Parts: sequence; C-alpha cells; structure tokens
Amino acid sequence: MSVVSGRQPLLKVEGLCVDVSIQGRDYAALKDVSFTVQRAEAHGLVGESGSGKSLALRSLMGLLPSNARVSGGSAFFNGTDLFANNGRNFRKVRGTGISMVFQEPAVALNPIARVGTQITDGIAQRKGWSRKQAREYAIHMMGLVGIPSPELRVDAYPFQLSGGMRQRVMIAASVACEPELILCDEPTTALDVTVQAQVLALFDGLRAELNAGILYVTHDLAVVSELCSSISVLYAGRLVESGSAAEVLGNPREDYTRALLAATPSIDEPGQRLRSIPGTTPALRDRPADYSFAMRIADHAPDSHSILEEH
Amino acid sequence: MSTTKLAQPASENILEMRDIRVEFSTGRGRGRRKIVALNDVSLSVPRGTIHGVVGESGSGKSTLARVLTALERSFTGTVVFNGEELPVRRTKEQRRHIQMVFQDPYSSLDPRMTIRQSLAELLRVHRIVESRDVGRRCLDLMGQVQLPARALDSYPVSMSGGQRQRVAIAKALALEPSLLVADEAVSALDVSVQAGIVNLLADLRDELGLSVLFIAHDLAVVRNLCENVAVMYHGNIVEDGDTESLFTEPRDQYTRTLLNSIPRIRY
Repeated sequence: MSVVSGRQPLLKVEGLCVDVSIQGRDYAALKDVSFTVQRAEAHGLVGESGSGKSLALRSLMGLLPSNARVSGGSAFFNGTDLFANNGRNFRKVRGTGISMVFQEPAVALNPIARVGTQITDGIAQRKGWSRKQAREYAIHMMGLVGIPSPELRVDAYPFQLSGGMRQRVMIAASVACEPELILCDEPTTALDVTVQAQVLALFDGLRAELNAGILYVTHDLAVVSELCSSISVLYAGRLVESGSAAEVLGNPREDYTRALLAATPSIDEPGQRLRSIPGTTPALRDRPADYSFAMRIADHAPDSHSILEEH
Repeated sequence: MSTTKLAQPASENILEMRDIRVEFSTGRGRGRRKIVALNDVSLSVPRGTIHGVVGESGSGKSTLARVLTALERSFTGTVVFNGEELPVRRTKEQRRHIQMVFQDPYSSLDPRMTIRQSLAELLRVHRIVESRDVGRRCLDLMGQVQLPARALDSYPVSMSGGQRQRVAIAKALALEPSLLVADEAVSALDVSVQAGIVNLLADLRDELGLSVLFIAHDLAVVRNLCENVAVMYHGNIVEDGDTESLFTEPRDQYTRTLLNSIPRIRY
C-alpha cells in the first residue's frame, strides 16, 4: 500500500450487498450500503440487532462467516478495491492497513499465549525483530493504551488481567502495526462505564496521533456521539440515514433515527417515559425483500394485538 | 390465595440488609488470599419503590443479589424482609417472596417447554392457585407483562430477546413475590426493546406495588427508573440516596467519577 493522493477518502464503500445463505436459499442481509471514512475521522455505524452492522464490518476484513458472501458493490481502501482479485487484496491490508478490535477480548485473545507476544506477533515477524526488541515494543504499546506497569504485565496471560485490561491488550495488538483504518465491533459493550470512557478517549487519541480512520459499530447512540463525527444508521440491512453526527443525532430526518433517539434514556433529562419501538426486526428469513421500518410500525399498530404500549 | 396483598405492612421497608459481609478466598498455599466481596454493607428498600444498585464489575452488586436470594449462603449480617429476619436456609415460602430476573433471557428459560408449561409448573409446585385456575392465571400473567395470549403456546426459541425477558418477568411474578431482584435485566437488550422492559417495571411498581432491587451498570436507565440508588465500589456502598440528589449533587468522589464517565448525546 503506497501513499496515494490525500484527496481520496481512506475507505469508500459503495453499494455493498451481502447475501447470507440459509438452508440453501440466499437472503439479502445488506442491500446497497454506501459510506466513506476519511483519515483521522471516526465514523459510526449504528443499528439494532439484525441490522447487518457487524456483517458490514466483517466484510471489510474478509471475515464473513462461511455462509455469507459479498454479492455486489465495492470497498475502495486507499484506492484499491478490497473485494477484487478474489479476496487476495485482504492479505495485503490486514494488520498494517486495516485492523479490527472485537467485542469480547476474552474470546478473541489466545488464552495460552502471553499478552506481550500477542501484541507483537504480527509486527515482529514483519520486521524481523528479536524477542528482546519485540518485548520492548510490546511494553511501549501497552503503555500507550494506558495499561499501568506494562513491564510487569507484558508476561501475563489474558486470564490474569481484568476485562478492561484485556480490551486494552487487544487494542494494543490491533494498532501495533500502525494501521490506517481501525474497525471496531462494539469494543466497549462488555466494559464498565469508567473503563469505557477511558477506552473511548484512547481511540480518540489514536485517531488524532496516528491519523487513523475509525469505523465504529455499535447500538449505543451515546457512545457514537462521544467518539464519532459522522454517522450511518442501518436498519434491516439498508442504510436509513447518514451525515454528520450533529445532523443525524441533533436533527434526524428519518422516523427510525427519531425512534431510536426516543428509546434512549437520557441522563440529563430524566423522568420522561421512554418510547419503546413496536416489535423487533424480523429474522432474515422472515422478512420480505423490501422490508422497511414503516412496515414494522404498520405491523404493530396499536389496534393489532401486540406486545407494545400505546405511549 | 393471593399473597401479593400482604396482610399488614410489617414495616415501611420491604427489605433491610444490615452489615452483610461476604468473603471469598482465592489461590492455594502461600498464594492464598482473602477477598472481601461485601464489606459490612447495609441497604434498605422502601416498599413499592425501585432501588437501583450501580457500580463497576467486581464491586459486589451481584453478590448482594445472591445473598438476598439465598444463592450465596456463607455471609454474616442480617437480612430483614417484610419485618422478619430471614434465616440462611429458607423455606419454600420465604424463597417465593423474593424472585430474581437474570441478565441473559436466552439461557434462563427451558428450551423444551412452552411458556404455558413453564408457568403452569411454577404455579403447581408452589401451589399458587387451584389446578382449575392455572390456565386463567397464565393468561393474567401474560397481560401483566404485556405479551399476547398466543405467546403462551410458543417455545422460547421462537421469541425475541425482549419477549423472553418479559417471560422471565412473568415467571418471577407467577410466584406473587413482594420483591423482584433484577440483575442486569435490561443490559443485553437493544435500546428500543430495553425501553419497553424499563416501562414494564415502572408499570408493575405503579400498578401492583411491586418493590424492585434493580442492579445495572447503565446509569441513564437507573436515573429514569429508580427512586433511590446505591453506588457500590470494591464491596462497599459509597453513596446511597434518592436518585435526584445523587445525580445532581453527588457527595462521593467515586460517584462523581462514575457520573462523569457516562456517554452523552450532545446534540
């Protein structure tokens, strides 16, 4: 990946379609999804369970489950289409170009390898470092992500660290090769709010210092509002709305975005009854190809016998 | 026999926990260490209110719930429920009055039983109603948790997370408890679904006079639902008071840290 002109976006996803095959039939899980991530920008990809937000993220790493495939669209990273060349382009960008932070560090980390080794595995091999050099770099990276006394913890195993520390280890591992784009799959969901605040600050620092782009997948509008300057809202595999964070959260155009905001409890204006959204997103198999949020609302109108509340 | 209406309120507080202490030990030999999970904790829940408990993982929130529901039996201190001190080994009747709703609605229901079977089993084992009234009672419970009657004949696998959590609440309510312990009961749900469960708990408090101990890490939910909040840190309750003043004028340093960490929608 050589340096390409600074004008083009770091990542430009256009018309992304992902099909999931269930019992021999293909279902469209993502339909015509487009968004861009600029350098030093954090872009939020927001949606409920079943919206396809994690599939979108995984398709950019070539990590789709075996029954899912990209069936259309392009994803240009630094001017190269990741989906072209039969998936071989992924190998060039994984780690150095694009890296990923997963939701559950307890699962994503190797339980029988020391955390220092896991952080530097990729870069040490690439740079031909000695063990000593790798260890020093691991300590440096652990310090960078805010792990106290890294020189003591570099030889620890994941089980010896708390959830917050493990998540930092995973972040250190994912940024060890100084990637240009960091993909985050709800990395703070399992963390305490105090730790979450620290991790969000950490991402913000990496964005500014490494000039890295961040694509941040979450269902939490408040988290997105803290970190991201632009947002795309997904519903049932389709892009509902996208724009700057101020536009989407402050002045949403779409009913779905408004409904999500109304369901989110506010810490500063309590006492109002929350507005739950009628029904749930139907499973992929159970929804028509043109399924939309308006159809969910119509299906669960107050007079139809539903679980919802009229408020 | 309806026991939701207790003969005479024995005290103003449905629950008083006094000086609860729980210690665990970890490691072996020389590495053996004692961990104080609850350090002489006291907490009172006024009747008919929702009392929030917040704090980070490992602060002792869940241990508190386990002591309360007699899942954790090695503790010192007293649990006074409805004016009566509860022994460590409780009778079925004593257990019935305090019911728990867990975080994961996918693992807390029996996948092989329809909702009707699950509820009917509880009603029979605890002899809540006469056999001939079981069906009617099941319907009432569905109404209370705002699920359609046809949900009674479905299996958990065909339900969404929010519907399952409503079923879990219906199972707790089937035993006509006076106190519900909700341990991170809305944490695993989508925000749109979470809003419905939060509203349901508020309705149950307002309509049935149910008291709830609401353990959560989402402070925004707690602020919108609870009359009182206790903040736990490292096995201690560092601050306990009415929600409004705790959120607007926190006295404790840790409470302030916690409040400053909450992500906010700033637009």
